[in-house]
Amino acid sequence: MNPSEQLFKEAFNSNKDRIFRICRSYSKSNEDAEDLLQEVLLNVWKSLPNFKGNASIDTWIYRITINICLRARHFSRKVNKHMIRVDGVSLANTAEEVDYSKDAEYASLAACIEELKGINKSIVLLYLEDMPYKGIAEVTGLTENHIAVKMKRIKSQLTNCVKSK
Amino acid sequence: MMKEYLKTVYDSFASIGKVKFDPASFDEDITAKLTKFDRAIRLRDARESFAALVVFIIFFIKLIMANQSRLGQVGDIIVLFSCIFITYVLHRFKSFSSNVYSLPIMEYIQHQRIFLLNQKKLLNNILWWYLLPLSIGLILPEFENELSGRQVTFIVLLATMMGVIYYLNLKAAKSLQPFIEEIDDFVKDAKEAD
Repeated sequence: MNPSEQLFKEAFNSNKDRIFRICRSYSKSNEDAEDLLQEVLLNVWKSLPNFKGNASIDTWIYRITINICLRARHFSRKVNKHMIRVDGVSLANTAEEVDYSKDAEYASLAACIEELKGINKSIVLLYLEDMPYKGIAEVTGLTENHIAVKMKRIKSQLTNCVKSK
Repeated sequence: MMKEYLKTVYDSFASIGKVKFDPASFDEDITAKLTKFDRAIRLRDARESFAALVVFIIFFIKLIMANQSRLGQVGDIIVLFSCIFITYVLHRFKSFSSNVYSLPIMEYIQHQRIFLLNQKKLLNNILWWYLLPLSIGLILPEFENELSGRQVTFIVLLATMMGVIYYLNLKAAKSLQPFIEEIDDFVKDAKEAD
């Protein structure tokens, strides 16, 4: 196994739940999110030979994750007909859909995140996954200052939105 | 304060959707499936080129072997060049590399925009790079002599078929517009400093 493959496995293993949560935020169901996760995984694997190390592998994987989610959910009418499912990656509790009634506040937050426009949704998801502004800037291609200004606005917008629901 | 609040709410979701990752079975599976996947993609591309190749060979043989008038030969040459040009255009604008997914979001979005604009242009202009040259090449030999009933039927059928293809392509081009507008809105929102 070459070093980049090993690096990928370690990075994927430590980020897999976060990646899934991002996919889930761009999907209507767990099944839909699993398809996105598989597509992310395949694209990460296929792009590995081109990983130059200019950004950290985590940043690189998050870029692919969000770009795939955006393409699949917003910028393309194509359904991926050549979708393949790779063994070794599965959801621990596939049957369990999100039961929003159990957590009204989370349901409100999810609805408020869904209402965010364009890149704001990607920024807030990375922020809630504890990524620093520097990392978010590297994933999005915006400056750190720009992210900070946006986040200030988004946080207050989200807090008001969640409390009002 | 706001961050803690949002984080607490968000983390209440964190237990849902745990992913199991088994590197050993992943290793075993990914290589085999990707090889199969790449083969399927290559086969699909080859099928498209094969159709053009078959038409090319038929018309090349006809051009060399058949005793035709000048008009018939010109028609065949147009069909031959059309086959080459159509294959070139389809390969040139088919898709973009999967490497673009690893670009920062704002750069990737620009690639996606260019890709969609190219697709739209291609569909809108199909009359010029596909339908018209091929139709002219096929119809031209029919005008060698006075048109018979059979020839008129052939021309009408061909024109109808090309018309339907043209209409479907225009419709497909129109369906891409909302995605282009969504990208433009996305870029505009992202650039606003709020």
